[in-house]
Amino acid sequence: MAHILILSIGNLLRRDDGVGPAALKLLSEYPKPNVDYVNGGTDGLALIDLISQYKKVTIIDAVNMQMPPGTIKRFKPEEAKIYVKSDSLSTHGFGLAEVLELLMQLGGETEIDIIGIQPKDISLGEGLSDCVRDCLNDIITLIAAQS
Amino acid sequence: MTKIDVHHITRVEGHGNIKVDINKGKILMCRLEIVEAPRFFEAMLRGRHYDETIIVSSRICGICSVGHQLAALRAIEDAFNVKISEQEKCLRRLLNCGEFFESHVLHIYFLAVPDFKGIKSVFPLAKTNKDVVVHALNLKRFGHYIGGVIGGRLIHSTTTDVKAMSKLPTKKELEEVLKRLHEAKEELKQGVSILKGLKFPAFERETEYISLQKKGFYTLLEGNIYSSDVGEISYKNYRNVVNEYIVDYATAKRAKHNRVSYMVGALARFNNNGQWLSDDAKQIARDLGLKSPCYNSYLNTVAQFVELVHVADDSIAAAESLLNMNLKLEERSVVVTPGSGVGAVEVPRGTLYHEYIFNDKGIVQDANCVIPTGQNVNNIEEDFKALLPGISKKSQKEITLLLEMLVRAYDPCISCSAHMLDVEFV
Repeated sequence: MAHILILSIGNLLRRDDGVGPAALKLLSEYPKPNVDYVNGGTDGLALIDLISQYKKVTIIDAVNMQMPPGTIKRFKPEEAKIYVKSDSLSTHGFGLAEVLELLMQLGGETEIDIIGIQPKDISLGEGLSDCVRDCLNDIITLIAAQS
Repeated sequence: MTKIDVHHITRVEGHGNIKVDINKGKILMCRLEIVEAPRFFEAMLRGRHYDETIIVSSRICGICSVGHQLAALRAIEDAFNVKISEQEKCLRRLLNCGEFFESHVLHIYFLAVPDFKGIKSVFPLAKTNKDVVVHALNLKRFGHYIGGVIGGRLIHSTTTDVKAMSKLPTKKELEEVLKRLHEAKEELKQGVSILKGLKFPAFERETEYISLQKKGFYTLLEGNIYSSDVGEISYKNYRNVVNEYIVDYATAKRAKHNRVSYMVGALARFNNNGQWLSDDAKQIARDLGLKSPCYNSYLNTVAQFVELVHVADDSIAAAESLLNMNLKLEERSVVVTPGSGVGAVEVPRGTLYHEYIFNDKGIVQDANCVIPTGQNVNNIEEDFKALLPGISKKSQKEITLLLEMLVRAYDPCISCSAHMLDVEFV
């Protein structure tokens, strides 16, 4: 198994919430040794095991950071106050916030960082907003530079 | 006067409210309101080719996706008189095992256990009882693994097909499955001490218990319907069992059969078919003090744990059988004939029915999916009515907790239970 995991989170049927899977699809066209690409979908609890198996995990997800739509920000879980509650960014009760919290409580050793993208529209429907689609290349450049 | 208004019960799948009003010991209102929006799956299934029903209906639930696939498969096989091989039966048993582990473990440890520890969620549990969370994750990992090997992936499996499983496990994979099944059984032994430490509320209300039954087997994927009140009923007559109807304060259809309510799920299966559990599962039931018939709905959680032991034993037998077979990719011929088919299977929360009416091209003309939680809603309300007089002197907080725990004991999947009505204006 590779040491590095690039993990996308999000629902393709909630417009910009699908930015993670969209970026991952582009990234996985350029496979790298030692790097696994996984679309984590929206099933939070199953991700705990997956993440625990890697030394380093980069998560790509739509994140409400109260910033202009399309803004990309890279951060570590401990650098942000991530609220544990289900909200509309994750359609299931056990979302990414809950996964990160539980991993922290269990004392996992995986190094995690998050590439958060501010969505514009997470209503029901397919396709990304223009401003979010335009930042896909920047996401890929950011990840390619570090993995 | 005591009023309980729990808006959105936590630690269940989907949205439901509890509303209770008691005045001088008299129950004025007692409701479990299902407030999920209808999802129109049956309408989406109309006009689809028969092999698409497996894919579309799977999306009804992320937890019971395998169950919906297997119910759809059974309905198609029933409609077109398709017989399946022993190999296919064994593979389905293994796939179902993965789902039961994922679902029951999630409910027992992540949704139910926090109540008994006096905490609100699994997060404080990870601080105070890390061993319990690690144990639960080990069991869930096993469920996920076996689902991945047999189904391609556990949620919305990609291998199930009416012609046959599209991918077969290798000998090496089956040996690994077998090894992990034995490990899972060892892990479950640890769970016994955890379950023994939980103090379940004392409560009894006898009701009608309904499940599938196939004499001699703790059946999950075949058999007829069995009612503890009236005995065996053909699975084809499921509509005469569920008798769906609606109330004006909820979006979920309700069900009743011989009485005002009935129960489906692990406790109903245990009460109806417990004599056919594996020896180890029977022993674990004895160790946990679970005896058939059991009329305490809170103990549905214990029955789920006992089922995990049985499902592991059943899967060991299935995996060993597969290792002794010369596995080969099958391709059953499907001869389409117009008509209807019914699929009835046991999923973690109870008996699930799918029925499809096909035309001569195999296109769905009508679909009906009857979900376990919808069948249990009446029974939960009847439990409320029986429980409340005995606890009405307790504080509002205590009453609320006991009611919430009762709802959670049924492990309701509320999202799946919400259906829209068919109406015709005249």
